[in-house]
Amino acid sequence: MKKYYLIIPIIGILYLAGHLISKPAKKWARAHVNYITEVDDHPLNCLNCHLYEKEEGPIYKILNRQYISPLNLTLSKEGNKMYVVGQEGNVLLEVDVTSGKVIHKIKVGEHPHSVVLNSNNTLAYVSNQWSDYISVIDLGTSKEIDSLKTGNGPAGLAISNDNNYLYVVNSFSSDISVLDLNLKKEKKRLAAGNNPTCAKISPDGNNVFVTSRRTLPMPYNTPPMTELTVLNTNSQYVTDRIIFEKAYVMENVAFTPSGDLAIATLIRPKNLIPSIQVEKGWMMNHGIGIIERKEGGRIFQFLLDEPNAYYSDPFDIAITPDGKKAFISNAGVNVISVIDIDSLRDFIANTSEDSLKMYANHLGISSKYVITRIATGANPKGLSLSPDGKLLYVAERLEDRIAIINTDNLEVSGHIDLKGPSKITMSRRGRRLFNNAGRTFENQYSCYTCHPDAHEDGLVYNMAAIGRNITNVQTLRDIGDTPPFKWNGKNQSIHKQDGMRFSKYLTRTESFNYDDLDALVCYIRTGIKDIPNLMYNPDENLTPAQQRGKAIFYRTHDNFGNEIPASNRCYTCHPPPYFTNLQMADVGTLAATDDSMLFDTPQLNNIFASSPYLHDGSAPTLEEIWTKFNPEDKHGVANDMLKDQLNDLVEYLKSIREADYYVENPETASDSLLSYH
Amino acid sequence: MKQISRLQYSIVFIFLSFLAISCGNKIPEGLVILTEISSDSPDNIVMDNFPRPRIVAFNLTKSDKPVKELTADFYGAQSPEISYDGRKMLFCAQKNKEDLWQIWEMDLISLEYKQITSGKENCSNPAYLPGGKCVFSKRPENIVTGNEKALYVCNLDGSGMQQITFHPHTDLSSTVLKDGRIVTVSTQLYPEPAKPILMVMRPDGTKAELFYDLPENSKFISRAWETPEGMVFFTETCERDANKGNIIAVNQNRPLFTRMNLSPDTEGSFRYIFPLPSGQCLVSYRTSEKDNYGLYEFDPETKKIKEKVYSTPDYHIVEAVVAVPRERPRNLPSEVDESKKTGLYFCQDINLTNTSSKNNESKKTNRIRLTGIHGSLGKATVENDGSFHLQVIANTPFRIQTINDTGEIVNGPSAWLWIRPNERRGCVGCHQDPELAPDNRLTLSAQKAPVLIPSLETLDDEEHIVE
Repeated sequence: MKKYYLIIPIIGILYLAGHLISKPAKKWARAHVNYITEVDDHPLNCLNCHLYEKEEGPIYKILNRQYISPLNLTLSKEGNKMYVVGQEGNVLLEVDVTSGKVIHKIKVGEHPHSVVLNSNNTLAYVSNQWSDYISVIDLGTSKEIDSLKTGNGPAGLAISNDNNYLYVVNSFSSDISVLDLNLKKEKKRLAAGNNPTCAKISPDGNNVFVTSRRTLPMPYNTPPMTELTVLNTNSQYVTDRIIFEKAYVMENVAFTPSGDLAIATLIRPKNLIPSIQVEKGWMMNHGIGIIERKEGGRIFQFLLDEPNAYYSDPFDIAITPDGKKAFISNAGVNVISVIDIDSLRDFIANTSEDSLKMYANHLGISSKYVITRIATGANPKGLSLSPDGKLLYVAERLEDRIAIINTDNLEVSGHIDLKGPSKITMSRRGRRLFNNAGRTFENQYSCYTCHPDAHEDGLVYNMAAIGRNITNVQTLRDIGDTPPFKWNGKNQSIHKQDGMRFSKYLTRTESFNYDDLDALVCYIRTGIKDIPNLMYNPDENLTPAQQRGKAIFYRTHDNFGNEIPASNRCYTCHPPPYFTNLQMADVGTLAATDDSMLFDTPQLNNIFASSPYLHDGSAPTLEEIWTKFNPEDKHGVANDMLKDQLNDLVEYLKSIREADYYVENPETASDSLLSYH
Repeated sequence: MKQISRLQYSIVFIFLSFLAISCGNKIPEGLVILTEISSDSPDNIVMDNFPRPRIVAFNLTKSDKPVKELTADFYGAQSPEISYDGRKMLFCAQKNKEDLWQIWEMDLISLEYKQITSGKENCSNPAYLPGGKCVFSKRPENIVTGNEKALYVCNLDGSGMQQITFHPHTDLSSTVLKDGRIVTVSTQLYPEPAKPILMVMRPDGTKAELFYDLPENSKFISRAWETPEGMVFFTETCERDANKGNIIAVNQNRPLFTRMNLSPDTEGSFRYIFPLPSGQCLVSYRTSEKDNYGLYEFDPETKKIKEKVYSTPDYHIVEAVVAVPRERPRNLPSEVDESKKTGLYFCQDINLTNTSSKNNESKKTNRIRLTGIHGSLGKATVENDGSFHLQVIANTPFRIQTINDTGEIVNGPSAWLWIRPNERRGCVGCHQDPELAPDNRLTLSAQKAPVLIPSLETLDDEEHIVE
């Protein structure tokens, strides 16, 4: 009995101890959370950061799920089978359309992008964007039977009418692989626009149109220009490079059945205009580009937006077999915009040339041709019509679901569940927020708009005072462990970066509530993987030039034998694995229009994919960082270098891979340091 | 055992008490709140200054509809607006005959009320803003005609009052859109009266712009309400018959060009509309001028009057709302910094007008003049590409005139504008198509420091301008 009495003082002591500890602990936690979030009322929910933001390990595996994330899809010629590319699940799903069931799940390469079928529907070709090959799937056995090597980052696909050639858009190396399907090898490679993404073959089979997403290299402070590459399938040469002025992120293109028009999705950014307001379309406009396919054919751009409502991130386009309607997936606002093509033709025919040009910026003109908007689930991406054009299938990427739309009554008639995980993890919720424009004023842009594929859009913006502090958009790939954020390093955490000031100066609407902010941060920290650098460092073996460049990167003495001060050596500020020391620095690139500031040292992982360079994007190439913007050797000692040495350094920089590689292979850095010495 | 059963009884008692209290705290479903004004009131009264109005309530679902006066303690009360949770009501009222009109809030369960404003001017037309604030109309301090009314915002305890509109207009009957902006009926008074318009702005008074333009010879006779589907409904007088009120709908996505008259074929007159969550509307309507305005149900799809909901021989029903929860609008962040004295105004191309994409050379503007209430505030040179970039004194009304190289006024003066402290605001051109987004190009003025207005040489060369 007495033993029980002992429990009372023990409990009392524990209670007192707890009481004594809890107050200072809570105070410490409050100060910590206040520091991280830069607000004083963010809930003290330790799990949101310390559990859900685990980037790897068993807890990560328990809390997270492998989603399918359907991106693109196509139907068999009878319309009874659907083939869906699961971008995150690395699968091709074969769906029985009648029963609405997934009947086969075929493993493909990493991060697949598109699928096409041969004309008799015996084979499917799937582009694997992160593993640089095409999976050839036997649709009789539903197995991968072959793989075809491509250029870097294969994305859009088009197959010739005779099934002899596959045209593969290489999104990272910005070219087009012409694959001979009989010989099973690449016949030739043709230069495309910058970051091409989609390939569509014309109804007559004579042309392949290839859209691209990033602007061509342009002089500083000039508007973006994006190329649509036209390839002749007979000569297999590029016959035209159609330039869309002041537009970019041309994700997809479609032809009318007669082939007289090609219509592409696009975004018209306002990056050269001071970002002083969102109202009246001052930040981003979303629309279509139209190409008249005839001698002397014209090119138009029109918007899908309305004066107080924006339809951000148009992705795919599908045109009905009768040529009457076009459907466009607006991935940022979860709607399908429906265009009446006859109205569009009438509008073009009855409008003067000057007015047509002016209408590229007109927010009211969409009422002439957009007949309705159909609501979908999260992040509608790829579209495919049934052969009779009666049904439209929509890949709802962040729902792991296909929506079915009746093209007569323009209503959603059902869904096909792709059987992804039923649980919506915190990271997935954050990804939905990232891809949705609902948290910007009037839905004008999502995080994705300026950060397509969570990367950057290659543009510079005037976000601060008019004409001042021009800012180069930075990648979000694998940035979780590289604080501080922003070029001026003013944000010590992503919570602060995406918090109140973000809403005040960028999104201009109600800020994220704390649950949503935690989810968004969780996604950015855990859900954005860096791409494999298969272009410049495919097999971990550096080329001789890259090896020489690496030695320069780690050098301690200049060409004249003088010791380079430690603070002015490349690797001091850019050490692996992220190639940043997370410190602020003055590299002598402050412009006259910049406020006085130091710069946050940027990470260099996959730097090859992030042009232009420097905080204001003034260096179009890596070379120019040192040939033009480093006259006083403030950005590392470089003026002693010969041209060949600079070339080698640049080659090495382009070879820098994702951070994980250097975490797993720390010796790669130390080896080079030792070998140099 | 006895103890246990006592405990059980206690739990049951507490539960029932809680249930009873919960039931008592619920707003009756279908509670309609409306403003009545005497049937003797003159017919031409619109929107404001009703003679001795009162706010009453009845239950829509009860067949006998017993009416309860909610503002019996007041000499006059009107303009009810229900909070987002459906539990409270803002209204403006005059406690005693000699008192000023002030803004009040009433708890619809306890019917207790509290005074929000207590200024030296009449306050009217309150509307809830997210973030525990409200917007209302009040005579501002710096007035020109004596009749101006500006919009003010304050917290629901009356603190933090701020004027947000700064032009010689009356700004009345505000509504908060789902996107967080305020729509108000705004009528220019100076230098000459102009027809009313609907203006839209952020709750800090920034980015004010035209929302809807009335046809000639029409007047607004009610505030606007946004439906859950994004339509904006209001009533305006018929262009041909000032005694007939029509129901007008515009699409919030494109309000300037989507006007629809929902009552073109209906005999009689409408003076108020309130959209119900069901998609139907409550309207204040009468069949002829001999009748009083009663409360009816209206179907905006079929454009037909349905059943009469309520009427009384002694009163016109002029406003009606239903006490139900509704979607809270976005709580917009503010860029206003009251410690700053100026804001920035940026124009991309002053030569871009509505009539043509570029004026001819003789019409080309190379200077602009900003005029305030009491004369010129200053001039600025327009860059060769038509752009200008100004740093303008905040909270001060101004209009812009464009001037060519011979000193002739090319365009203007514009409508009254104002800039809030630290606001950054842009326009595409001068009287340009209001649906035109800016062209993506770097302008010359964006690469230079702004011109300060008013400048030191404000009045130096007035003589060069040919009026």
